[in-house]
Amino acid sequence: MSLLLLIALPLLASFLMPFYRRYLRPVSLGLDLGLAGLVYAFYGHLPVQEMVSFSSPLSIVFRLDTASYFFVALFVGIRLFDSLYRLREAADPSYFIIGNLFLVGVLGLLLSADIFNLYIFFEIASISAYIFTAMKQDQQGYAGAITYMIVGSVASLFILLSIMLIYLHLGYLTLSAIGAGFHTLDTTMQHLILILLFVGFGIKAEIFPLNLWVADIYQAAPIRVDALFSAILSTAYLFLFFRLVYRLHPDPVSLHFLSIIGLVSFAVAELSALRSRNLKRIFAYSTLGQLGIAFAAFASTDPMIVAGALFLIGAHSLAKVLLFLGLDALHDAGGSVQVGVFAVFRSPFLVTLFAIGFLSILGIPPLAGFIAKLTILEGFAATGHYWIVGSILFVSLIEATYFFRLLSSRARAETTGGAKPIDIPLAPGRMFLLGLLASLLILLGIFPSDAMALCTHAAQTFLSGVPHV
Amino acid sequence: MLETLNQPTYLHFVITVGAFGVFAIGLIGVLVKKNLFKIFLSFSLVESSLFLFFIGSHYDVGKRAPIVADGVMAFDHRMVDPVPQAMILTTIVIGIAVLALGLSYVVRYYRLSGHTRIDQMDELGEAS
Amino acid sequence: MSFKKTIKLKTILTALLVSLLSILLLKVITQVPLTSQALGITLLDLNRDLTHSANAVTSVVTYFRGLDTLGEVTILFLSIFGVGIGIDRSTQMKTILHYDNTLLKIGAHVLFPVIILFGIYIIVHGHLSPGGGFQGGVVIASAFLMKFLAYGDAYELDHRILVLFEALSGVGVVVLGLLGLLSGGLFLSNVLPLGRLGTLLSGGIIPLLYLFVGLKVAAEITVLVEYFLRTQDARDA
Repeated sequence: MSLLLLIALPLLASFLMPFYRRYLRPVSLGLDLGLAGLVYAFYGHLPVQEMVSFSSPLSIVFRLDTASYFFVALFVGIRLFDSLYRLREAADPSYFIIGNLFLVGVLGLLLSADIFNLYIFFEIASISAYIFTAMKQDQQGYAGAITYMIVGSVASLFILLSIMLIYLHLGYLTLSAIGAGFHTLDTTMQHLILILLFVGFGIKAEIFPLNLWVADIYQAAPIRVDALFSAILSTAYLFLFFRLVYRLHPDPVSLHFLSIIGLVSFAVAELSALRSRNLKRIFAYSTLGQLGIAFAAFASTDPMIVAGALFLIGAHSLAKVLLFLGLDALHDAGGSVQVGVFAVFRSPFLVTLFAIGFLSILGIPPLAGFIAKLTILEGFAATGHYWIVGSILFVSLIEATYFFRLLSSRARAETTGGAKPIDIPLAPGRMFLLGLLASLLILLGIFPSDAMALCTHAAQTFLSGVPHV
Repeated sequence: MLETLNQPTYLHFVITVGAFGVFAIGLIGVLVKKNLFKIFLSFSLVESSLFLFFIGSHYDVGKRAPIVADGVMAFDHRMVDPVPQAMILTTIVIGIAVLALGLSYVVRYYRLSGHTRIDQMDELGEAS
Repeated sequence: MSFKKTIKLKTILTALLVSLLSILLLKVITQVPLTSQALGITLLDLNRDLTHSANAVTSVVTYFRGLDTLGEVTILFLSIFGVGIGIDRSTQMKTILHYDNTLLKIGAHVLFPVIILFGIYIIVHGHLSPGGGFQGGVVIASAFLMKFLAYGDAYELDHRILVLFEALSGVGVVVLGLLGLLSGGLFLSNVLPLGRLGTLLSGGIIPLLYLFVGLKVAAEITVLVEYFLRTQDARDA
């Protein structure tokens, strides 16, 4: 059993696609089941470390520990869910290939422990995201993809320059060697490299001053792709950002700065969502907000808060997949993603799903998001950061405002009975899958102990080596 | 007098200054130009300047290419570092791939919208 | 038509700001002296025993950092695939630039096999001399570019063969990696005899891997050249 199979199998399937075009659907499902099985097989054998090509400390290393396992399992699970969700549709070869390579890029970002190799996987993930954005092949899609490429090119230039400086001054490319030698560098050079890395990965991790483009990309991309962006891509970059931060042993002042940035990110995103009338953009802003909380929590380097943040990310990914797939069904029937369409559709099932998704993101008991936010807030209170607790609660009120405004717009529409209602046809299989996801959110909220234990363990591995602040 | 230029310190200084001159030109192009083609080409320019800087910083006068041929019988430490060259080789291919994709999107965008100007790109946003 | 060009204040300010930042960057970068490159020197030493390849850059590209090359092949495939999405080859493909010149046609006919041969030469000697998969692949693609320019629409590419090359070369790299895994070693580790330094059949899997990379690059760049040369509306209209 090798970690490289997680990369090699999707690659093989993509390269070979022209030869089995007719059997795309079974192969696609088989591949996703196989990957899920592979990920399951690694459970209990962690941490796994594997070298590539030759056995030496200098070779490219792949490493799977509990923290990266949490994300690998989450992403492969979401991919399997997506595959099941489109089971009855005609197979789309381009979605299959781009989706596979997207997964390869993201898994590489989680597993690789060599900075230049990370850059390669970073580019794979970015390029597949560009292509995904243009998938609709309309003017909006291309405008979005071009914007995304310009922003992404800036990010990769910054990262490239920082990798070059690291190699020029340290002479190594493996993360562990960089972490060990970074403090022997000249202080100015250290700061330069840190700034370059912060801007480069910060653009991709979508934190406040660098995330003004994100809502446009979500608006341009197809809704299904938005689900993948929100649940997988942003999350992976966030994890990568903090993997690097923890490696470079930051001082308390910069960590404090990072947590303030996370909170500002949260507040700005929720205020933008309040103004927006487009459901895609609202969900995009809500993603930015949730990841802002997670960002602030990661920057605290407290095991309990980080565990809560991991739980938050898991719950958020599930909820966002639910919301975006629900929006997709809404868009297929109603043809619009403006707020107005939310008031007039007729499907009690879908309303329940949306409500569960909203409430979980808000953190209302008994849903999964509640446990996550509770843990984070408890942790911040225990470490004495009451102002962070206060600001998270205050901004959550803003979040609640627009979610309840959306839900209450339905009640108003019922009483006035103005617009013509839209029926949402939803296949039973899909209803079952969405229902499964929603009940998972409820179950995680009622019985959180097992998942929380995993998160706590993951947080401890994630933080190992960081001097406690 | 020209001998001094062969010293690694001067050589690297000249190469670095030249590379970052190109870097600045490219960056100005990215920020100032409105034509999408020119923006992508400016990115290409910035990337090339980084390649120049990286390869140049690893060269000293008197070092050989890391290849055993033509009288060089074995690998020794008077050869230039092969790792940056390998990294740049990979990065060039990535640069070409991204440039090709970007330019093809510009072509398609032009077909649908009739212009290639970034300041007229207003499809996305709250209004639409 | 006047050639007078106005420069906006914003442009000048941006240029000044960028120059200032670059000078600042330059100051930091030039004031810190470089240290010795530990990784490169160790790899040069390792290269003597581990690969038997005469070109150390090639051994770093394909062997010591073979996974990067797999990633590079993937990126090329991904991006050219993205370029090709939504193109209807039958209606939209029409050459927009070619020269109708008999001399050029005869010249292209004569030179085509020579250029292809030269490209293959560069690829298979990648572990002995400067050059290798990417360089040779681009040379091969340039032969096709010449054909497009000389013959215009009269020259048809067989896309089935192209797809075959694209797919098999990518699969080749991954399968080589998996073979290393199966033989009990590591992903992309050597499974072939190393041979004698400096001969054509040396270096273990390195020449084979570079051959796959070269074919991949040749196929992808040819597709790319065809796309940009035969897309209607790209320049006119």
